[in-house]
Amino acid sequence: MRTIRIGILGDFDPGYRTHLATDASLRHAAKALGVEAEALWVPTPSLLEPDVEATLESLDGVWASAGSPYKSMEGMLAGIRLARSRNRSFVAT
Amino acid sequence: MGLADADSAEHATSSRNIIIAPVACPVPDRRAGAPKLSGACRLRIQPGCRLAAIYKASEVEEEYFCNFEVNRQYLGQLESSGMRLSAFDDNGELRAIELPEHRFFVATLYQPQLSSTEERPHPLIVEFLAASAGLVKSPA
Repeated sequence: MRTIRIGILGDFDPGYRTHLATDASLRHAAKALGVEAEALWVPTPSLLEPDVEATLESLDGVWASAGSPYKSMEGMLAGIRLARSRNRSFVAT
Repeated sequence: MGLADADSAEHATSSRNIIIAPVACPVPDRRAGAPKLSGACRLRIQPGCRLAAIYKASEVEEEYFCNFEVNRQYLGQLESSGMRLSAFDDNGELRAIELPEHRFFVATLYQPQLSSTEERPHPLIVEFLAASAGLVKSPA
């Protein structure tokens, strides 16, 4: 099976326990399912760029991460809206 | 604050629903009541929703690291615009929502990732990954 690409919408902060746990929990889940999963953090400002749709197309699932206030709330909302309208599996925690 | 701005910026009811997810931590809550900062919380899962199928339980314990509560005035609007209110805490505060028609769309006001371990991966994350991988049947 090919690698599952999960886009994590958010501004990754290695000092934020929840962010580290986000990556770890995906690894746990992938192991449990016997799949390969790749987590790609997508910074919130980048979600306002014109190529955001192309970015989203390449993802199998979208995770809107914890950690507001985000660098770009607008970006976060745009990303979530796209995930919803493009019927991408979506979780926000 | 985030919620207020997003609320005024998004007038279409279908758009407004999305806002609840990102304004989770640490927007201060807009209601009187102690903000929740961290620790464990017991949740009641509504029967028949996706979370009920994922947890296979009607009561679960989860962890927070956030400071947010949904203004109860909006609950009716959330529901009438198509969101399923799927989990509540012991104070009756909304803690998770779902979009039932979507292939997989769950937003939580708690952090399941905080309690995931390699030995016990969190079921919500597993199901999300399974859905992303196309391993889960979409709802009819």
